[in-house]
Formats: sequence, C-alpha cells, structure tokens
Amino acid sequence: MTKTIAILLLLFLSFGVDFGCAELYSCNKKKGKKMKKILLSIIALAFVTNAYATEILFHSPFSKTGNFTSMSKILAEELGAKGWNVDVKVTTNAKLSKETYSSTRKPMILAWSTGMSKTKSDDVYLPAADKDLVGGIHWSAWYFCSTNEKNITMEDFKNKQLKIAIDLVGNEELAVWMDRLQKHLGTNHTYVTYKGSKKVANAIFSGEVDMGMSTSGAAWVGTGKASCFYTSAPTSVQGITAVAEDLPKFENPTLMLGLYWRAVNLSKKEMKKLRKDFAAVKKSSSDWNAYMKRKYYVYSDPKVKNYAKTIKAIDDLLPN
Amino acid sequence: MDFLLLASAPFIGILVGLMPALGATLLLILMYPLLVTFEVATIIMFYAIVVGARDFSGSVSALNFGLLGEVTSVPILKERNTIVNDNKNMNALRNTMLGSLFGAAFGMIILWASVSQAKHHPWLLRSDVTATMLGLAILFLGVWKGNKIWVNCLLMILGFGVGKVGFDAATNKDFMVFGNMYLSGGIPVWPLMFGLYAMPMMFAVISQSKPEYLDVSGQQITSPVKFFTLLRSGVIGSVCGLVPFVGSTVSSQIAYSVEHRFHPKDNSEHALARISAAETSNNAGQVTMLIPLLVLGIAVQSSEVVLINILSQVGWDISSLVTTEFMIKLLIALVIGAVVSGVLCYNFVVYLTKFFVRYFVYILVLLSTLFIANILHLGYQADQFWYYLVVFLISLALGMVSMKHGIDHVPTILIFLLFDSFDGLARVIYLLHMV
Repeated sequence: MTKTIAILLLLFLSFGVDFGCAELYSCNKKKGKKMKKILLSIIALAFVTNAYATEILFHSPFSKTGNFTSMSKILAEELGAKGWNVDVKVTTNAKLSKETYSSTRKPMILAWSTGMSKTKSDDVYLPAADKDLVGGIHWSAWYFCSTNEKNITMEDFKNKQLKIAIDLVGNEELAVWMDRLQKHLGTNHTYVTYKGSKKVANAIFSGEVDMGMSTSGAAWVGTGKASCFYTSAPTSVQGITAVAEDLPKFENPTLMLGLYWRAVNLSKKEMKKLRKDFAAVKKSSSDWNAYMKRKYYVYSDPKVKNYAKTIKAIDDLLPN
Repeated sequence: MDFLLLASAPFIGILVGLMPALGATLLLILMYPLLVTFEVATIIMFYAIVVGARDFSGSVSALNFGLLGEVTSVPILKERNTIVNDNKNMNALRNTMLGSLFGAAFGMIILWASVSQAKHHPWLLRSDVTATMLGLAILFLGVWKGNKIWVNCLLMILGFGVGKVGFDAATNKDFMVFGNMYLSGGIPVWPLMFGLYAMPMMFAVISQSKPEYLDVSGQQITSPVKFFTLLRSGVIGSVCGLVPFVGSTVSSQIAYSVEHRFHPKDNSEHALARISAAETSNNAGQVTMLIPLLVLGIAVQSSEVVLINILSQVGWDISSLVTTEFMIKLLIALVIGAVVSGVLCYNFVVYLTKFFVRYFVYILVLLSTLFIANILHLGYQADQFWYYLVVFLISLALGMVSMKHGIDHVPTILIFLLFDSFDGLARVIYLLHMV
C-alpha cells in the first residue's frame, strides 16, 4: 500500500515537473539537468525508505485476549512506527503458526513461548530460537497463592497434603518443575488441572482448592486480594519469598514463563535493525512499560545471546 | 464508538422486537464480529438495553401487526382481538409501556441488591455450582421447543463434538484433526454460527409475508394502568428471570395467568390489565436474568450464551468487572434505554411501524451482506480466510438442509458455545471430590 502510494506520488511529481517545465518555464539544458537530479534523488529516497518497509507477516498463536497477544500487538504497533510494515495475524492456532513459520519464504516474525510443548515430539514443538531470536523476552514468575482466609503458608506446603489449582494450557514446563519440587520436598499434593488462568483464579477465590499457581500473584498481594508464600522468580517479589532463596539445594529453582519473538527470511542487516528497534521499544514505549509494570513482569538478561542460552536450557529439559 | 453503539442499542432492540424470529440470540450472532471490537462493560450495557427495547417493541409488533415478534408477547396476541375491536390499541401500548418501565425499574432494584450481596459469597464461583447450572442448561435444551427430545439430544452431541475438534493443550491430544493444521485450531465460532443458524434464520425471516400496517392514530386513552398489577407482576418477573433458559419466556405467561384471577372478565379493561401484567413481568425478568451472568458468569438465556462467548473473546474477567462504577453505569444505561424505547414505541409508533413495513426486507439483506463480509474479514485477519470460507459454506449447506427438515440448531450452537465451560469440568470435579 505504502509502496503504491509512493509510486503514484512519484509519477505525479514527474508529470508535475514536466508540465511545469513545458508550460510555466522555458526549458533549457541546465534546468533539465537539475530536474533529472531532483527526480533521481526522489527515487533514491523512495528506495532508502523502502528498505525497512519490507512487509513482514507477524503471527501471534496465543489467545486473542491474552497477555502475550496484547504485548505482541504493542510491539507490532511500535515497530510500525519505526518504519516496519507489519501485518499482524492473531491465529490462536500454534500448529498453523509453527507450520507457516517453518515453510514460509517471506519475512515473518513469530511470537512464541517457552511453554508451548510438553515433549520434543509434540506437533507444535519448535526448537528453541537461536539465530532467529529477535529477543526482548519478558519473564513472568509463578506464584503460590491462596485466599487471605485460607492463608496457606510455606510450612503448610511442606507438611500438608494440599489440592493445588494449576493451569497447564501453554505452561507445560510448569508441571515438570512442580513434580521436581514435590520430589525434592517429599510432598504428595494433588494437582487440579484447569483450562485457563481465569478458571484457576476462580478456583482459588471460590475456595474449592487449597491453593493455586498463578502469574498474577504479585498483583494480588499488591492489592491485598490474596496471600502468596512462594515465587519461582530468582529473588523475592512484593515480599513473596523466592523458592531459590528458601530451598538453595533445589536444582533449577527458577521457573519463568517466557515469551519471545523470532524472525525468519530477513537479511542480516534487517535482522540487526529489527533487534535494535525491538530493544528500543522495550526502553521507550510507554504502553509496553505500563504493561510490564501492571503485570509485574521482569526481564531476565538484556543480551540476545544470553536470552538464547536461557531458552535453550529450558528446551534441553524437555523430554523426547 | 462506545457511545454510538449504546445510543443505537434501543433502535436495534426495537427492530429485533418488531421482526418475528429475529431474536436477541440471532442478533448477537449477527453482530458478533462488530461487538468483539468493544470493551466488556460496553457490550453488557448494549445487550441489556437491546433486550429491554426488544420487549417494548415486541408488544407493538403483536398489537399492531398481529405478529409474534417475541415469544413473551403471546399473552398480547391472545387478547389482541378484544383490544382491537374496542379501539384500545394506543391504550394498550401506553399501559404496556408503563408496565415495562415499572418492571425494568423493579428488576434493577433486585439486580443491584443481588450483585452487591453476591460479592460476599465467592463460593458461587465453585465448579460444582457451574456444573449444576450447566446441568440445568442441558435439561432445558433437551426440551427445546423447536425439535423433538431425541433430535435435541443428537444436536447437543453434535455441538459438543464440533466444539471438541482441534488440539487439546490440556491433554496434549488431537481430536478429529486428521493432520490438518487449520483443524488443529478448532472450528471457528463465527462462520459456523452464521452458516448453521443465523443465515438460514435470515432466509426464513425474509421469506415471511410482509406485515400489514394498522392505523392507530386518533385513539383515546381511557383505561389507566393499575399499580398493584404492576407490583405483583414485577415480583413474579424478577423471580422468573433467575430460572435458566425458560425464565423470561414463562414469566409473562405466569404473570398473565395470575392476573387472570384478579381481572377475569372478557372485556378490554380486564384484558389491558392482563397484558400490562405480562409485559411488566417480562421486563423485570429481562433485568434480573443479568444477575447470574454478572455474579457467576453463567448464562440463563440462549442469547447470554452467545454474549458470554463474545465477552470471553474480549478478555472478560468477572471478578474485576462488577464494580460499583460499572453497576451505576449499567443502571443508568438501562434507565435511558428503557425511556428511549418506551417513547419510541408509544409516541412514535405510527412512524416506527410505517418505516418497518416499508424497509423490512432491505434491512435484513443489508445486514446479512455486511456480516458475511465481516466474518470473512476476520478470517483474513487470522490468516485463515479460506478456512473460514469453507467452514461457512459447509455450515450454511447443513443449516439450509436442516431448516428444510424443520430442525432448529439452537441446541447445537449453544452446546458448541458452552464447550469451554463443559470441557474439563468433569475432570476438575473428579479431582476435587474423588481424589
């Protein structure tokens, strides 16, 4: 579209210049040369601005109204403001997005999460992003929460048998991590598996479970809505103790829900610019930062190479 | 844009009430692609105003055209001859309008009290409460008026099966996907609903005979509305509105029957009291039926099932929605909606009916075209244009064949939309109570 407008504008300008030359001014050689120069400059300029206006397909396979899609939309909008021609498609279909990403020959950005598959043989499994990683991963930790009335504590968790609400849709690595934690503590809690974070929240607040796992825990504690005793973040958040701090012998005590963006079919130069623009969005976008703050999301490591290592480490833990 | 939608709600509601077979469910399906672009609170307010306005104009349709715009207008149709023969059409419109306003106001008081109390009862969000409500939903859908019981059962199984198609992230298994990456994401809601139900219904509405205009200008008001009739009918309607799926439908019938005991005579004076009771009860029920929706997030009307599906598309969070601010806005919207609808249906009834009779078919054709284009646009936005088109065409073929054989696909659609609520509920209850 932008391209078409640019071409039409160019044509219009060219005709305009020609008519001007023919009817309003007396054309001499000097003026003709000048005109040629102007035209060439405009064409060159059009090509320069077009270099980063390559149309990029942007897939978000997550729920239409989820946090991941919301963040992807903010990102796409900000990239658009930086000259990228982003075509956002919210597919809500991980397999479709994965297949499109794997087979397309056109430039494409894909929003992906660390918790998309349970095993490496799953249909929706994609190897961890590496060279195709755009970066800017944000991480949201898990919180162990109950109602203020129940007020489940660390001691209860270690000593009692509890019913825990857990959302396993798109959070496959959480089940693996919880199993390891239970093994480490020697507990035998029952998981009550729900489909979606809202159902988990309902289960916690209705009191039908003893406690639940949520990424909204810090916000709940902030508003006094619930009490949370553990977090899978590397350090305490909002006064909620980190598992890593309380159980130093527990291997891999940090578990973060990760979202990242990967891109294919871009030239080296384009990829470099995309990463740079992405980093700038994280720094300067008010919408982005407001979202991060509201959700108590935290960054792990700002360097793309280190992000890639973290993702790979999670990927390595997935069974075949 | 929000204001525009809300301002148009009384007019849309009136249109729905005037047109036979174009109910709130079908309207929401038609407006689905548009509504998902609005905020949750706006959509709920829009819905509340529309159903209120629909009931106002339902009585106009029944009185002036002898058409059953809404099932709740059956009592008016029963009394129509008595009223028309006595030239009491305008009197009936006035009394039913006042009754509707009273009923809506009465329902609002109950709504406010219930919602503010419900905050203190979080157990209402329990899975077993949801399961009970869904059980009732299945029970009532089993006896859905459009089909025989066994047909309803088959349609519910079909709805459940269609809802289950796709990759299940909780169990990590595919169902009826056949290796197709589009099917992996499940059957899209909009093209299916529109093809299977909405479009065939639109054909049915369009092919109906054009309503005839009845001149009511110049009639005098001689019989005033009776306060105690309104009061007892308001109570009946408010209670009935809480009964899943049949509540608001039977509320007008019950109030009508009760009023028959107080005003049993076969004259226009008593007939006016009886239809005022029916309309008061109906409007009170339309407001209180919002209680389970706002408190539990549970639908008690077929249209609310569609509504909840729309709300979940735009990020519905029941715990943070029902604030005092929202409730005040909702009540204001309901009051304004009721007054505008009342005035339109009474003071402008002559113009309204003339407009309706003239443009009946054009409006429906325009709406259908607009919404088909919108659905395909949504498919394009999800990078699934052809998939949406194929689903729409297959559903349309199935819908048309079903319509030919007199099969009403409401149970299919509703169970399909309720699938997310059903899915995994048995597992949750088992884990909570058996393990």
